[in-house]
Amino acid sequence: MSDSVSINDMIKVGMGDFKVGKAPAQIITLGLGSCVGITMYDRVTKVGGMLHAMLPESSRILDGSNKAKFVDTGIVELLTALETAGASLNRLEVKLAGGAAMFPNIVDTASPVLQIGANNVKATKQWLAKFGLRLTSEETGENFGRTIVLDLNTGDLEIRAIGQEVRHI
Amino acid sequence: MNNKFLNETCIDVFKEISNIGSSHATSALAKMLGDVLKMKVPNVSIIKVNELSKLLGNEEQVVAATLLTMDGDVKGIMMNIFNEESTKKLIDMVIHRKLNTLGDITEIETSFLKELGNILTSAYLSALGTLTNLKIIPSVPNLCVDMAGAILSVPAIQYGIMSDDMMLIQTQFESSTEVLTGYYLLVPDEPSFIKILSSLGVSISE
Repeated sequence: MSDSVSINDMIKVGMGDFKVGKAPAQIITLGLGSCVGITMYDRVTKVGGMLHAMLPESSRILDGSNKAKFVDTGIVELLTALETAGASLNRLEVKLAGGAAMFPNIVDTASPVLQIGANNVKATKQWLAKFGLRLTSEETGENFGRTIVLDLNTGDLEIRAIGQEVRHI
Repeated sequence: MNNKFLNETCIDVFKEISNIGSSHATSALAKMLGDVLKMKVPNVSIIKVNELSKLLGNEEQVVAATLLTMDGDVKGIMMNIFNEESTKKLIDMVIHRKLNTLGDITEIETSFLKELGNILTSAYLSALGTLTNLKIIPSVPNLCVDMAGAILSVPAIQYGIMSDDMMLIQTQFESSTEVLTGYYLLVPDEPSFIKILSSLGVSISE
């Protein structure tokens, strides 16, 4: 986390949620596991947003009322909000983090939901392609949690994990 | 609370299940600790999926969690979670090692935590099986020590398929010197949820 901004001043995105902001703000999501964090940033207007989606598709789910819970409907919501906030969809830099398998040894069992991390990443790439959006960078998979911070001054995405060096993608 | 499963009656049923399940787990834990443990009546609550990790401090708080899958009559996942403070106390009490942070755990603490999670989840599930007369086959438990938000995303996603609400079972144990707070998340799939309730005489109205 950058030293100049305390966590209280950051725009926080919870699980199944999305937020949009403008420089000098920073947008943060804490403890991303199997969920995916999708960030979009327009370098010219310095408007950006972050989606913290839990599941690949809204159509297969009983309760689809919260659109930000899903990769497919969440991306649509995020794009709409970004456009309203003044971002140009042609200029978006898209980054992706998360989609971990927190309990990798248990993947091959009865519960397909435990492979959700990989499925979320796959769905994200498919939906981005449908909207003609290309990933600028990503850090996905593995078996650890990530905190991600999008700096709307620079478009930098900072990634932190327990016991690891901070990196920027 | 608009979910048809998570109403007052169901909470009462799971309070009772958890009371018995947790007391089994408590006696198993007391044996492991070689100490007398008092258990408080478990607290069963319905919370929003996205508020889950706030209960453990925040999403970045390190926790120790054991996860297993259930098969047989009841399918789904179960998780046992201790916050960092309780985990450090348990490590100190049983294997006499004092850790500053859970980031410092080695192979020895890891195997202890695996065993602990194994004992606590098996005790709970065997009580659940006996009470409901349902066959529950637990998988080998898996341990993960990481950020609360990341770990809790696993049961949250499982619940997320059904609704935005989830059921959290909180258990507190007191030894002669320490208070330990642990959590269970029991996440049966939809048909299993109905089976558990109906085996205890609760019918679900659609």
